[in-house]
Amino acid sequence: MDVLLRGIAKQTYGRLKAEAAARGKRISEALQEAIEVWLYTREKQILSEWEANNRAYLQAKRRLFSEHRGRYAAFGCGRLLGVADNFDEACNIVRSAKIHRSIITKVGEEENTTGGEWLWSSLELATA
Amino acid sequence: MAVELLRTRDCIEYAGSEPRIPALNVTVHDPVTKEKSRLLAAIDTGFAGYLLMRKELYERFATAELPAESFMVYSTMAGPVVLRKARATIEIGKLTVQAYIETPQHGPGRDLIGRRLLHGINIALLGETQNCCLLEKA
Repeated sequence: MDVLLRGIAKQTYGRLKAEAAARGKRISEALQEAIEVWLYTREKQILSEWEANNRAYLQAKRRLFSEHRGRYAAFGCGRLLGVADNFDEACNIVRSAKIHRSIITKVGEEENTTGGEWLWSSLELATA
Repeated sequence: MAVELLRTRDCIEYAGSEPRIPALNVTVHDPVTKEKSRLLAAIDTGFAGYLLMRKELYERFATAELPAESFMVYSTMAGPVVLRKARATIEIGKLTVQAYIETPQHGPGRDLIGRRLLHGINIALLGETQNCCLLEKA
């Protein structure tokens, strides 16, 4: 597809053009590569934060179960942010920490993780 | 046998390519950031879950995600599929529920309303006019 870009800094574009030329690539190829790297980095960042929060949850789980059963625990930045009496308070803890990736869980709540049947209804015709 | 009269409201034309899919407008609220977004979600009576979302949209609204050990596992004919799960407020017409949004742990996902949400609303699929409507008592 064709894309028209406006507002790119001249110096940045100059460096991109020179680097692409040095590698024998077209500008479009270099841009495509840059976009893919940016998206990959972003996904990795989200994933590592997600993993860190889950690790923190598993480390704190035993203590939470013995001391805070029935309350809400909030995790973010790879650590326990706090424990609250209700879900809204737990949301406030995350909000005031100004983070966008968190885990909020009701301590001790036995969750049935059996989702159930997923039939064929989400399938659509696709060209081979 | 008792007869109940219901009136259609908020009708939405079927979406997508032929054969088109019945869909409903859904508003999702993130409980932490208070951000909200309206999306058109296909009705999927084959999906047992809540509201399945595309991964990039889920990431925006999944601030209050559950621990990975609480994610639901769905059985499909191609084997088990794990869905990530986060608390969210979901609005469909006049119904507002504290429920969950979900997205595949692996793969991009789609916007679908599953049976766990469909059980809370009355809808009509008007095939001849290709409209999906919410129903309320007349």
